[in-house]
Amino acid sequence: MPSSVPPFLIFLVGALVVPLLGRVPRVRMLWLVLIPVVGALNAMGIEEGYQLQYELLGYTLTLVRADRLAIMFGHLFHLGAFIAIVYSLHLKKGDHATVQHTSAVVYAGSALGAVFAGDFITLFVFWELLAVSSVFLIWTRKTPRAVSAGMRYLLVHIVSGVTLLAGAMVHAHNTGSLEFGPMGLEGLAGWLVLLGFGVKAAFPLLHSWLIDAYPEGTPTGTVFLSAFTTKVAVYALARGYAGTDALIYVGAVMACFPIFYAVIENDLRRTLGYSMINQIGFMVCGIGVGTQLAINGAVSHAFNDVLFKGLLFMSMGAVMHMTGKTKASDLGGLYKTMPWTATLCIIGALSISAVPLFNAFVSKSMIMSALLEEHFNWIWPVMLFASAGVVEHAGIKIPFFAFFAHDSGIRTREPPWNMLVAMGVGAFACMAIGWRPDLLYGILPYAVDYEPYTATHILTQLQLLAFAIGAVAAFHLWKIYPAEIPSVNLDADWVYRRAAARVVRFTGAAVGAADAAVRSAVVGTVRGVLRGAFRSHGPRGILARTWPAGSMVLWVSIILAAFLLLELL
Amino acid sequence: MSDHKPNSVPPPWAGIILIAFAVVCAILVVLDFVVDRYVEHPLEGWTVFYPLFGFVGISCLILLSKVLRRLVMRREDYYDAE
Repeated sequence: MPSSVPPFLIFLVGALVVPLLGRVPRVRMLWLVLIPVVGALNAMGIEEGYQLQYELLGYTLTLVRADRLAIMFGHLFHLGAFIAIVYSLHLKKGDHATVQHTSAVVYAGSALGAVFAGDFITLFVFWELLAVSSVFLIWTRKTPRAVSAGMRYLLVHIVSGVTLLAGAMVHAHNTGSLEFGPMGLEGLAGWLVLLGFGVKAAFPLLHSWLIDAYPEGTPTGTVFLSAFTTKVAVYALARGYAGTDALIYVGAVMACFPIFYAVIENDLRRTLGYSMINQIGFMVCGIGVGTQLAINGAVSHAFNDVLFKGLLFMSMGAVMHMTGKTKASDLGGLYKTMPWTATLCIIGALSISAVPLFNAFVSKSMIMSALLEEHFNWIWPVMLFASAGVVEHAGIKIPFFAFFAHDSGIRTREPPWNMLVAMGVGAFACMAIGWRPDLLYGILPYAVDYEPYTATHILTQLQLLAFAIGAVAAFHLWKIYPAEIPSVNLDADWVYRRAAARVVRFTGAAVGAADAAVRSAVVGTVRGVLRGAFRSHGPRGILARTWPAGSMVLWVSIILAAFLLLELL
Repeated sequence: MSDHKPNSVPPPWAGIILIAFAVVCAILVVLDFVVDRYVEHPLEGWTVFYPLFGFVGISCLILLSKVLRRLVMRREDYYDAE
């Protein structure tokens, strides 16, 4: 008998209890940790091929569809939720712990609901719940920037969901089915659904919600944010658009443009946001290639990204928690007082840089090999460049500016034990998959016949990384590396934060001026009419004068005389 | 700007780390001539392709980023002003 509890249900029911445990923090801690553990045990019991369906308004909806792809993401989200929950256990009343914990658990549950959803309606419900639950992880930071960034985040994601729903409706109209399966780009439905997914996956020009909102989240909230939303989108693309050529090029652009921004970004959590788009670029590219090796590479890179990007966000969250700062210009020298955090951050940096024996070396290599196998000879060097770029911003910049570089004079302590444990689990997982890729291979959608550890591959990767690091070191020594400057960099969000605001203001002013002109013209005309009427009908108006009876008799006599004269003539 | 701040890693250590790193790079270049690499992409056939690509690629990345900074960098309170 397979487990019949839908994976999301454990999280949603668990979240209902969390607010009741506010007065007993230790029980709440235990409860919070139990949710992903029980969820994972439940998910392990779900057998491949299991489906849970129900009827609604004549449509068959699939609440749970357990195939290899969904089950893999299910395992990933349980692991990601466990790490992030442990990381946030220290939250107290002043951190709005109840709101943060509850929304985080609902958020993780929504991600599980979305990847197990077998139809568009169920997917849409969880798609929107992802947005609505996660925005509290931004808002609870309570700064004016966080509040407005959260509002923008929510609006963008609601639009993403509505676009997805519109696509689903067109699809249902065309095919008579709401099942979510391979879509392709034929027809309006395909494009609308892709656009909905593309917003959440941070496609180029649709990406700025990510770099706008993630750095404004709470230290613990951003760890949750980094694990779920974009990975649900990657899952949805892998299911709906595997082998769609356009995604290869979209992925290449995503992998490349953020690394330029990452070099000059001063906020280290925003740098990680750019890094996240860069990594999703690799996944989207792999999905576009669409072969079994490429899909395996893309989804295993999503798996690894939750671990190493989570680890990096956790290390920066720990720095923020202890120092209140995340700007490169404010930090430096923290390795002296936060050696464990620094070490764990470096493990995350080595992992994301795809150093041999760390997890991204395995998954990124699969995508690169798939590109070569399918003879995408122009895209391969582009992705190799993006690969080297990762070393610069995530491999060196993050740990270097936070923990080394110039001594900021900040002397602090290691973060709370639970943060260190969570980072330790993340770091262990990064290394375990690097050492034993078969741990990951076993849960991938397709059978794997890939050996990353060949002499050629290890040597070439080390050469690429070492000389990329060499270039960064040389630019530092020559003092031409871009300095850390307190600043913001204009990105696509400028369009709606500045340009659109100006257009609205300008349009408002123009409409206001036109309105004033029309009003004054109408009022002028009415006044003229009134003045004329007053002139003729007013107290002194010709028509309002009192005429003597004599003059009237005189005029009547004249008129009668005139008639008489005319008659006689 | 933080140019006036002291380096957090003391000079002797920084020097040793840099020299060790240079030695590793040299070994990796020598290995390119020793190891018989298999080649899948035409560019991979070039001698020391990967070290060259890594160094030149990142140099271009940093230099172009400096140009990008001139175009897009604004004051920290740019969006707060309105």
